[in-house]
Amino acid sequence: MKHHGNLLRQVLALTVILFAFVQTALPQTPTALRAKDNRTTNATIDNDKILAAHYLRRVGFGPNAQDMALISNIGFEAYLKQQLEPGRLDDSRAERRLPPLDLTNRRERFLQDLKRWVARMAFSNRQLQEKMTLFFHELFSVSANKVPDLLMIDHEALLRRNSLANFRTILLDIARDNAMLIFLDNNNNNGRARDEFGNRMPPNVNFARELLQIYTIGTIQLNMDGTAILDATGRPLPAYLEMDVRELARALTGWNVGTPNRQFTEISSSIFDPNEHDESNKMVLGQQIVGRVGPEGAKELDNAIDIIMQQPSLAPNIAKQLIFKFATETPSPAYVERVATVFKNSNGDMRQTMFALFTDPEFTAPSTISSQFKEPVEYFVGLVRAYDNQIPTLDTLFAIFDTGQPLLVPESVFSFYRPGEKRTLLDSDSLLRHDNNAGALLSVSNREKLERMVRQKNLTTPDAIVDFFATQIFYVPLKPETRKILIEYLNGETNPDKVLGMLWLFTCSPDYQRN
Amino acid sequence: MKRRDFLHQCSLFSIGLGLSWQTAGMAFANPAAASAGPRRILVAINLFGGNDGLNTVVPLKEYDRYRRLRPTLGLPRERILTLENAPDLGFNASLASINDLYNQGKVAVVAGVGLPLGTRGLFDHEQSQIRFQAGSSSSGLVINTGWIGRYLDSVKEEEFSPGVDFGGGTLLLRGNTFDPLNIDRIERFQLIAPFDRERTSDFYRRLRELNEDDVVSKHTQTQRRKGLMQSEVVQQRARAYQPKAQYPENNPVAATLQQCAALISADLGIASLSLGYNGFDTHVQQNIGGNGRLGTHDQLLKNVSDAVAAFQADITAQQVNAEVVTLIFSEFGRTPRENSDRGTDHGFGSIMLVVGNSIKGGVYGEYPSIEDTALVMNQVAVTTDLRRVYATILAKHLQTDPGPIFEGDFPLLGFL
Repeated sequence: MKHHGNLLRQVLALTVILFAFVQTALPQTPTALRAKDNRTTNATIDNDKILAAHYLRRVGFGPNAQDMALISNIGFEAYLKQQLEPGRLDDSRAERRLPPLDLTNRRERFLQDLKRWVARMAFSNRQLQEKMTLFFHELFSVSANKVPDLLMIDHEALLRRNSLANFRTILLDIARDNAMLIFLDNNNNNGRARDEFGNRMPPNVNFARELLQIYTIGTIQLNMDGTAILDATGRPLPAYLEMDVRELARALTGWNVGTPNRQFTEISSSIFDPNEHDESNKMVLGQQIVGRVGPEGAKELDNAIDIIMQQPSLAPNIAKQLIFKFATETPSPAYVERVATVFKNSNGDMRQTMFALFTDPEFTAPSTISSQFKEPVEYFVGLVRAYDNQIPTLDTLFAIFDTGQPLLVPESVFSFYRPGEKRTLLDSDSLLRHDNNAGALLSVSNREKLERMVRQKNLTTPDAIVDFFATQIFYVPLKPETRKILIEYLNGETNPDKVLGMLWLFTCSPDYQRN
Repeated sequence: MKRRDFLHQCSLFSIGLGLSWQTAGMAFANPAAASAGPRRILVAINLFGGNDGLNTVVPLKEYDRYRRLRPTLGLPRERILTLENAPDLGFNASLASINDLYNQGKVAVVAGVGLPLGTRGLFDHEQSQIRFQAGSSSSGLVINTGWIGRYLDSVKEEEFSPGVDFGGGTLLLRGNTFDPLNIDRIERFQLIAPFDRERTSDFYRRLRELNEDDVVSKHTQTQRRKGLMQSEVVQQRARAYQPKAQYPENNPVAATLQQCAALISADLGIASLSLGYNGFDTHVQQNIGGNGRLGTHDQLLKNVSDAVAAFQADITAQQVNAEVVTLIFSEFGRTPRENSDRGTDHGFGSIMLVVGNSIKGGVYGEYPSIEDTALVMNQVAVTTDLRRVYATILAKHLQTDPGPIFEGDFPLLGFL
């Protein structure tokens, strides 16, 4: 669920409008240079480039000149294979552009960490790693509005480290993650507690419920193609019952967050306390977890995750969410089934699953290309990646927060939007703020560098300027009507403020909104 | 200045403090409302997370049992305000200002509200939110409209959207044809064109005239057009508003209700407003206070109560030609027995509150017993179908036949 009135946005509400307004009082040269005939210009992009830009928008955060050239040289499949092995990619150039992270600086470190993530999205060669990190952040939706910042910084690193790991590994790590233990109250969840009258008290079921409902199998039983399995009367069948939630919670009792050092700059891994673990047998999703005594009790977590990994709804549920995020929100059931089958047969290997997703014919179908809504991160980071002109990372981060994707501070377990509903991020209010923030980012970019670029590329006419930015910076094939409006806006002028005004209008056009 | 606030915010997370902020000083003044017959306006406040009904209105009749079920988070007697004319029940003392309104006959307490047993996803936030917003117990996979939205389908749009959502849930005000306007903060709901401002604004408008038929363009063009037009109306009309009551500070519900008051005062033809308040999912340490601080749940209730009281006073003093009813609801109640974390888990029956000058104050619906034999699956029973509350508001306040809005007939309650 998206709730507008959340704490962070309330705060941000007071803060926006970073406009270092440059109210240019330029003399208008009256219709001096009229737009030339369209046919004399190079307004089109060839198919290979359209496809390469599509890959880059979906695998990562949009095209830039360097990655467009790379795909053109080695082909998409080779590019994808590189992306699936991020550890082998040299990323030293991007690393040098990352702002520092100083854990002893307790006032700044959370902000530093956020800036580093946005800088990675914008400049890292490991684009898929960063987008998968975002995917898992949105899946687990752990938030700094409940979890201390140090744990959030570790949590983000955990997501990145596991972003292309095996799904089972991810679940095991997440269940033991300090941040998650706090976020969904499994920390110090005592399976042996009794009240003052000696009655056994039920354990907290918060994590157990979301583990089933949101993180893995979902609420209803699914076919491999992602459609619901229906009973004889046409009703969907529940994927689990209340009893399963309670039993699972008992198996997951006994975990506690680690111990921080005195300076709160480091915290140890979570700790299993056998004295808080419920040692009796549990029955989860029709399978018994034999109660374990002492430190062995920790292994019940592995047993529980194994049971979840065997559930038939897991593969289609995760496949569907990956396709929604990376490919299309209206996939054919056959596409879901193909990706789900790879997930299932590989026992949740994210590399094989993502390879299947990106190499599927439906991924490059005309109905998939440019069919998605740009999310705020894609909208602003995409702008910075393409138009890499000294836009400060802090401003970019701010814009993303302000338009509905407050990274590491989602409002609830339902993240920024429900899977498959990117549209809900873009209402009339948030779109006005998209546009206001895009203006702010362009306003703080480097004008001299822009002027040099226009001069060096010999862009002397409005047509040439519009076409250059559309086809060689943003790789967006402009609709003729949009192109006409942008050219008329320039009104024959090519000075930096005019070009920036044109770029702002471009970011506010339907053409840029498509992803 | 603005960016400094943002930086400050991030460092608040860093040093592990809570959030605090000042409500923006709103510089609006009051327009003369002028239209025939009072407008009927419904304000819906959605308490996200599942509000604990038993600690909202306490069953004094079964107080000993209540304390046995809730050894640490049950309210002590001195934190309970016995309801006038209903001594079996008591408000959580955090609801003192709601209690004052109750004593003036302006609050209906509806007990045991919930969905019928067997409804899909009963203990699941998302599924329950969908059904509370939709006013539906359908087990269908796709529910696309909210009950207020289906009412708004029939409301004629004047110069402004008849339904405005400040974050009360994406479904609540969405109809089959009606699409609500979302606003976060009125003062920020405006386009600020950069560079050559007049000219860029003109061309921004021209871009809005493009009609393309792909899903992305259709949606974003419609939304941007709407944002542009409606923000201009709001900026012109709502500036006149001046609050005529003291809204509490550091209270997000109050800040949003004040925004609602500004829109209502502007007399824009709004029929419904919705807003949300997060944090009611109190699995852990639900009510550990002390040292002059209220417990988490008590503080949440106090914020709602103080905000609603200020809003009620403001709206009354504004003398707008409108009858306003405020509904406070949540997607479920919580377990009667506290868990080992001194919290409560997802439950079943809960409380709804309806506030307004036209309300016939009192307790409606049967307050469910918390004796073992009365519990259903160890949960507080549902004695009042939520649609009875909604149908009553539709029929008696919004003067609409609730029949076509719900599947089935639901007997009205007497609070209007």
